[in-house]
Amino acid sequence: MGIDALKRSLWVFHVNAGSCNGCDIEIVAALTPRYDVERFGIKLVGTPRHADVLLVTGPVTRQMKDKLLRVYEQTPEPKLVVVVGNCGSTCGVFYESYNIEGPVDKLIPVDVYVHGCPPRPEAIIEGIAKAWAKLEKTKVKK
Amino acid sequence: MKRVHQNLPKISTMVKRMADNEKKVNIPIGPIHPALKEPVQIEVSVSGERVTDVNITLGHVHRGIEWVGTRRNPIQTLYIAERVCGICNICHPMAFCIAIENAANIAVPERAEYLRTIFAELERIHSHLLFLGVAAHEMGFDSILHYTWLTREKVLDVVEMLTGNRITKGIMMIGGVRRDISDSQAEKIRAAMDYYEKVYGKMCNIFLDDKTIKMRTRDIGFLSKKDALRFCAVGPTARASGVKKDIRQDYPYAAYPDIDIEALTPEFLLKETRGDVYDRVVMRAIEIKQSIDIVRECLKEMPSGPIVSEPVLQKLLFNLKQVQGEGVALVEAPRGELIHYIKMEKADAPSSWKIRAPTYANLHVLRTMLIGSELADVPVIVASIDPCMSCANRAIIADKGALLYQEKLRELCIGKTRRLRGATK
Amino acid sequence: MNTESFVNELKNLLSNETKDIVVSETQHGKSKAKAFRLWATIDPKNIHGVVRKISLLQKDPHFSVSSGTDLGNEIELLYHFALNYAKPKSQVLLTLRVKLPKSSPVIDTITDIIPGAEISEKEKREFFGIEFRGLPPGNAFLDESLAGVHPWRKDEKGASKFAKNIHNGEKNG
Repeated sequence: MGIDALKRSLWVFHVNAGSCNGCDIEIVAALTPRYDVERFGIKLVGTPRHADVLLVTGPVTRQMKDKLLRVYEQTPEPKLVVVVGNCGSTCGVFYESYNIEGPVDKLIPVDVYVHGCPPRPEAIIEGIAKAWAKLEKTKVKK
Repeated sequence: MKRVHQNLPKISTMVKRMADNEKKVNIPIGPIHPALKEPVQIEVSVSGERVTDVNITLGHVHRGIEWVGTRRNPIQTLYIAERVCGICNICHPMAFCIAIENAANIAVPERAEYLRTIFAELERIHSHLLFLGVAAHEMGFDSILHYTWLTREKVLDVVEMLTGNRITKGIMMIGGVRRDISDSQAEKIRAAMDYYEKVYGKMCNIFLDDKTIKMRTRDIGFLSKKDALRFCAVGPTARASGVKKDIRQDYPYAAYPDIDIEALTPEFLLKETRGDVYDRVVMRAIEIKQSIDIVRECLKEMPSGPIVSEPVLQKLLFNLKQVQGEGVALVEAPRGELIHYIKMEKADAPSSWKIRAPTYANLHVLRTMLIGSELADVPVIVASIDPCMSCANRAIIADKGALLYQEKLRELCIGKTRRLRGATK
Repeated sequence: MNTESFVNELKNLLSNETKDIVVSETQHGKSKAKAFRLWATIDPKNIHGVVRKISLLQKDPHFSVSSGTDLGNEIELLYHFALNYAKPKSQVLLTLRVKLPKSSPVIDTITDIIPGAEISEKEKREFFGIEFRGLPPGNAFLDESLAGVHPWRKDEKGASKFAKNIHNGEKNG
């Protein structure tokens, strides 16, 4: 995967599905000057209808389950899902809680897992870059 | 009036109510919404552009943490406490440790108390910088967001040097802390504090002199001193209304009794305390300065000695298993008073654990602040209490309301900034 | 008023209600400053009156939160107050303890004296099934799929049956 995969800019929508904020602030940190992903055309957008990639954080609480599904359905094809953090990947320390419906891949297909509690911004950027390379090869499903 | 409606999303309830010629419109905001960094649902009723009622529903981040904590041993639970919130993950484990130490009568070594204080204040610096950025972002002043978050990286670097991680630090332990600060590390902390002294100067320039910030935050989202007291508001939100509540001053823990801390109010920098959004923003900037001074003082006065009362974890666990008693701890988190209660009954796991995070207390006053305000001011008022839903929501609400993805509200908010700015040019 | 005399006044006030008063002290820092915690068990019927009396001693008492434990036949409900606040090293942490029978866990609300207790009482209503007389309805805290479940109870109404083990590992609790 090289930089030549970056043919167009990638828009990202962030869903917090019950995260502790740790991953979320690292996502914002990736957007701010030290990491500055916007120079690659990666941008957080305010609605899933504009997004290419869904960034999902959190172990998916009962209340967020149907909302996550709805966000997924509203995202146009082709779309990719990147799970950021251990909670979304495996439910992490919350694995036995009664209010957890996750992990994310139980509910929606996941393309890239970024591990860490929370992952460093570099790891999040790498995850998105991997998704990007995958997206460039994907065609719209009919 | 017409302008607002053009900007609002077309939702069935709203259309129906407009058809009924009713002036009151309900607008659900969230739980997934660009102006909110975390899931929370705020249903705002407006008449024209004025907010007439507010209904806040929570629960989207409820992970059953306290319940999970009663199924594991205290050391395992310590790491869950750390994951209550990704921003205040020093104060939660610290409050948890103090509660257990209170229940088990464990004396913490003096050096550990100083180390805890330093970590807590570094966290306050990072949290307040984060807040200042988010507040500026909500009014559409993104250059400040980027500036504050760039300066915030420095404290994260220091934290990483001290603990090995940027966010979750894994530094607290029951009876002390897990890692010491060496002399060379202390030197780097001092250098970082010198850097923040300069940042503070610049922040003061921005927040005290910039016209846009003043226009956008002065005289909106009022919280009177009386309401702050009645609704038990905590932290900078209460102090910005003139209530001098600060756990570090009132009920000192760790090394705070040795440092004479005074609860500050906006009068420290401004002539008066009004209790509006501007005061709450300036309050955070003032507290950055206070934290810098505390860190310096702690480094200077730090005693030598052990950093944890019982370094062998198996022995600590064995001792904790014999404990019959209960403990309660108060800690001043960046957002205000944090309380942990724990009950231990000679078992592996504690039989009860309760966390009350500061946002939980401040949600009561959010309603008071929003009623009567303009719709375009809602995001900046909500941001001004620095809500931390993952803290408040370990234990709370569901909704059946419509789910909206609207950038409209933030657009409204930014639009007002632009309008005001244009008007003065 | 200094802390010691405030603690004594508080003890006097509570001694009319109960004999079960415990004062504990902890010390922090090099200066070994004392921090006071007061624990008092009172009759659930008197909660409203006691809080009213406290509010005369300390105007606008700071209500931190209420917590609770399932004791088997009873539910222990604790009210944590921070009093004598906003002065250096003066605060006293008061915990009022009431025990409610599980068969009819009913208690008066204190939200008319302290409006800031609303979320806390609503939370206890959901999580323990305690009925607060005079507390307005509304705000289901939990998802509707958990209707009738009081997660913090340790009996059949608790959340144990919803416990998961996603990692599928052995627990060595």
